[in-house]
Amino acid sequence: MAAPASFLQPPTDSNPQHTLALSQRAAAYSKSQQSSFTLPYPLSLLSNTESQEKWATYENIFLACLRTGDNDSAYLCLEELTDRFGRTNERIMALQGLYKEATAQSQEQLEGVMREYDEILKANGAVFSIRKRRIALLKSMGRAAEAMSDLVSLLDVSPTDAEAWAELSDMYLQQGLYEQAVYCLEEVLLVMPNAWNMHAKLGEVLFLSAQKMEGGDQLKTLVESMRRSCRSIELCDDYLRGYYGLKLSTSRLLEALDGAVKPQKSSSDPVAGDLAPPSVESVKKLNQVATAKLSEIVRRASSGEKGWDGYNEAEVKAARELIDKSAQKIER
Amino acid sequence: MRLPLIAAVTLLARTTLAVFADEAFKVDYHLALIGEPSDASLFHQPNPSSRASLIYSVSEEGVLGAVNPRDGTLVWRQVLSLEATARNTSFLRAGEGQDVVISGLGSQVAAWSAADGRQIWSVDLGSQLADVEILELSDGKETPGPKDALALSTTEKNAAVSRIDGATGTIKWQYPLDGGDAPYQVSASATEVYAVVLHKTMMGYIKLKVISLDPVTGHKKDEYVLSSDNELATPDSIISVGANSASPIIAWTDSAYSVLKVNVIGTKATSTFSIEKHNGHAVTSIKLHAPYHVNCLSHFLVHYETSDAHWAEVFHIDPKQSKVEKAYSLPKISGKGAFSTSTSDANVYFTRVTRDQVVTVSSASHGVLGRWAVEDYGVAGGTGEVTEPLRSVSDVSIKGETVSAVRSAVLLSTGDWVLLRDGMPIWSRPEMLASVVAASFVAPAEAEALVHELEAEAHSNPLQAYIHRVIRHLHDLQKLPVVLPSLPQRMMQGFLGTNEDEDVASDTFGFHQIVACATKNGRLVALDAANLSKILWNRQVADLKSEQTWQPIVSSPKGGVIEVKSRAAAGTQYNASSGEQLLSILPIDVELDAAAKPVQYTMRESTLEATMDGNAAWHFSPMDGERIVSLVPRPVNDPVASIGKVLGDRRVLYKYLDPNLALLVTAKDTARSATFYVLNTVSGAVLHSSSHVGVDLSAPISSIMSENWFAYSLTAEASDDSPKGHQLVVGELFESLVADDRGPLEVTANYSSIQTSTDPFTLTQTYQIPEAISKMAVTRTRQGITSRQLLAVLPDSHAVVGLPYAVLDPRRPANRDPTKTEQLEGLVRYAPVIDLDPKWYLNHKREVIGLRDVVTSPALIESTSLVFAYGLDVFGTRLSPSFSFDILGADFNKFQMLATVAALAVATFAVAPLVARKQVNRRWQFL
Repeated sequence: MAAPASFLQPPTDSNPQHTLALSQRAAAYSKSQQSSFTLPYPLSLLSNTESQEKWATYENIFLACLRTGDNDSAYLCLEELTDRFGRTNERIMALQGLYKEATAQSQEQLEGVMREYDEILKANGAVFSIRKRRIALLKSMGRAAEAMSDLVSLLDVSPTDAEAWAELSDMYLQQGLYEQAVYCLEEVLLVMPNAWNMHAKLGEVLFLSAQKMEGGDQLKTLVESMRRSCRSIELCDDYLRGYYGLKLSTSRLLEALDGAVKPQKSSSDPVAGDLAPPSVESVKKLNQVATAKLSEIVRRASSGEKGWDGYNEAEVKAARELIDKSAQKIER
Repeated sequence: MRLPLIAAVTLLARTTLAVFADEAFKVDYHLALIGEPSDASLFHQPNPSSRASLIYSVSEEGVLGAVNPRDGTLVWRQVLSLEATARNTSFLRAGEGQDVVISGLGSQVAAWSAADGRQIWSVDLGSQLADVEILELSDGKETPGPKDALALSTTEKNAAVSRIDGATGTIKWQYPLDGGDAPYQVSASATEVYAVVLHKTMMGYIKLKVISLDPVTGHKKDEYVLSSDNELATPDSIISVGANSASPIIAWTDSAYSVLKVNVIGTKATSTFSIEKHNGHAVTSIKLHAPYHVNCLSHFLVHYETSDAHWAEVFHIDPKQSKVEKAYSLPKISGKGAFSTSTSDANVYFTRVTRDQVVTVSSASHGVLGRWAVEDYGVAGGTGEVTEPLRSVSDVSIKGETVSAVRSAVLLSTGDWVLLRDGMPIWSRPEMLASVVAASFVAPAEAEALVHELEAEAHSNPLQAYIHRVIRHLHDLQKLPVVLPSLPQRMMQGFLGTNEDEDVASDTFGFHQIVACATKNGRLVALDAANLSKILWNRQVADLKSEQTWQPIVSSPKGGVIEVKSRAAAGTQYNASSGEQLLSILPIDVELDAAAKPVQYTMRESTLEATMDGNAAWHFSPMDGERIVSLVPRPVNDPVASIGKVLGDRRVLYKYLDPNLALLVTAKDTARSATFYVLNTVSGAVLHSSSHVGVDLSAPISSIMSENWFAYSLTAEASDDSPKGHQLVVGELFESLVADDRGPLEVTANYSSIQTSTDPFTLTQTYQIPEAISKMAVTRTRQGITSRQLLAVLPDSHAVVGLPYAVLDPRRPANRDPTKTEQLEGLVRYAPVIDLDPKWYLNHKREVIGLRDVVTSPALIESTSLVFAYGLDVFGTRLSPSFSFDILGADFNKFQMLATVAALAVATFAVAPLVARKQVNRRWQFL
């Protein structure tokens, strides 16, 4: 948890403190941006008050204020942004839609926002920000099926939109459609092959899907999950979720390997060229590594050591529980 | 890989070696001079229909020139004879209303078109001329066109009066003067031609004999002897024989200048006037000024001069009774004065130029028609010297009864030729520079002082050096108040690139060195080598009698000091910037000189004798029948950057470098041969010799010695197998011809020329050149790093060329193409003929006539050598044989560069917010 709230860090649902701090500084920031005097027209072009950071900060404050319910401040920020970039800017249109969604008091008002979106899209169907906004609105209104079909049609037009693929994967996961979720995540990784969190996420989804499988398929999926976690760790040291996934998948894999009398080497698909399942020893080693790393992260993060303070508390807590559970298992 | 590149670069360098168009007329300068005008100068209208006139003059250097009186520019000039001429033998006449001027010099009478100087005709009478006149007959029988000329030739055998046709130059008639009388002058009246001859009596006195001739036929009409008693001892006592006038006269005086006698030619009567003394000073000179036109009033002016004053008397001739009467006299004025005669219709005007005024009077009465004060002649003189007018020629404009303007071209005692218009100097021509006999560059004083200070710091211990430096800088701070006010101006000039007009004092690059020139008349003139428009000072250093010559040696023993030595007297030193004579330092320097050169050699009657510590060391006497033509030692200050030549394969050929080398040229007239010796002047050893037979010894033989090479040029006579041609021979001395080998010198750290004699290995190469070279010089730079150019004076094409040494290199491979390593050195195949590339001509468009010598001097920057050539003309330039690698060219515009930087800075600041805005917009364009 970062002590001073950075203006440039967007507020996320996983870090409410930061969001709160950001929204509290909104008034002070907008005051600091008001200069006491401005030059007349031609000379004003020469004075530089512009920067990427300024507008990113306005956007972040706007989002933070909406989250914390400070709608007045949010409105001021939105006005600043609208003045600067104009009403027709796609991003501003999305932000305005967001503001209206957030300030809507009733279902009818939300329906009104939806109608506005539809009108915009009727005029110009290529405004992706509004299309995404509309999907988000559908999702938040509980109309998941419509949202998913919209998202699929969006991805038909723009198949390299990693954000959309990730969103779609999330929706499939909620529906329990693991296979589709895995496919979507794989699409995300095609666009962004170095996204370690996506690798870890894929590992998690695969692990979940493995729970429902049996025999060779389960073993294969678990091995795939383990490998995804390993790739995630490879891309990002000390990535908690990656180790967590590794720990889970290797523990489960060890159990599965124990159960299986003979490792089914022939289960590897000769056409796809699947790798052979790992040996028990290596899985054990991986499990030990994951355990050791998790316990180190938990220890250091809970003692607030410098350089180890960026972990989500909930995740650390979950990791501790996992370690404790496995320790009990060993005791037993 | 690098080979073609280097070859390409050397090719490029070869082709671009020239005077650049933007430097021509900026870095070089040229004074087209005619020399100090003699008495034969006149105003004349080249086009009879127009009133604009030019000043024509035959100078003491034997050059006929026409000068525009408006601005002093030379309209045209013709060299009649460049050999030194005795005085009073040049004549210049112009008939009234004619477009022809007639000159007489030596034995040649020539007519020239007055407007453009083209020769119309030329007649050689075969003997020295005594007089040239124009025959102005007023009988109306003459053909239109140029009037005929009369010439009197002197030599005893064929002394004669000749009448030469003015249009064609053919001799119409000739009257021989027999009897051993010396012809003196010819003059013509309207009806008769008179020849005045000097008849020597038994007693040794001279009697004047007048022979009158018929102008049409040339037959003798009459002959009589004037009763001049025993007054005339020498021809010098004859003041003047009036030329063409209504009544020509003869005037003479006795040797004590006590009596003036005047005779009107054609009569036998003599008028006698006694000459009064003035303050006890005897009259030292008498001159007579009379108009030159037949239809003018017969008035004349006699100009008396004592050592400190002058005056004049005007006489009238009554043509009917042939009586001479004194009309009035002009007052005595101290100092010298110059009188000149001008005519307007029949009226005669006399203009008197003195130290401080110009006065015009009419010949008829003594009333002053015009008087103008001369505040300053506007010429540089020596300190405390009063500028005196010596000779003048005037043009008077008459409006009604008054004189509206007077233009006088005055020769001053400083040698400047100045035009005064109503007393105001309009222009001046430094004609004394036409008779420069020796010149030298003077090292700049301030730079030398700094060099000594720095040397002192380098040779003392660090603490002392530090204290010395701090003290020096404190001293420098005293100059700050002077520098500060001029700083903004200098910066401004630096920006705009207009700091061309630097003077000697603030000379950054050493271009403004002082050149000291000793003239034939015993004057020393100091010039700024980069800016000839101003003469720094000009002073008399030798008191020469007329007809006396001197052979001075001008040198600069140390910074800011000029030393003038002549054969008769010991050296005298002068401050280069002010011209003041220095006395105190002389004895010290003599000792230093002696210490520096233990062996001294002198040329005595065709042998060369050397002494060491006062004892005879060696002597060189040429073989039978040979005479020494010239001796050229290596220059005293001849820095050499490298002791070897680096070959293409990085090996070294060691140069034979000895400070005591000299090139001696001897000639044998009977065998028509010339021999060239390279001598070691300490030991007297002959290091190299070469002999040429069939040499045209009347053509100039020039030679030069520098570094480890020598060059000479000669003209070979035609022989059975080769035509007559000019040759340039270049020789280079090496310690050995094997690379990386120093021969016997390798083991010795020190050696003496006397004890060990090591002969150099000499490479020579002969080239055919299209023209004779009269004088050679070599460029000199401060460190000797820059490549050298051989400067050659071409007397036939009036030019100076700079031959790059690479062209002359004796190591050019003959009969084969150069190998790759030789190509790397820049050697090209030997070709026997060197064509003088037009780009090598330093004088480009200019015609530089009569050069006697070329002197060179290093500038303060390494790339540049200063060149100063003198003779009749003065020519100077700056040379960069390896291009100006250490100085920005004139085309470099500081202002433009700074303006560009400033504009870019402004643009950056102005555009930055716009770019930032655009970047933000792009970021926000899409999600």
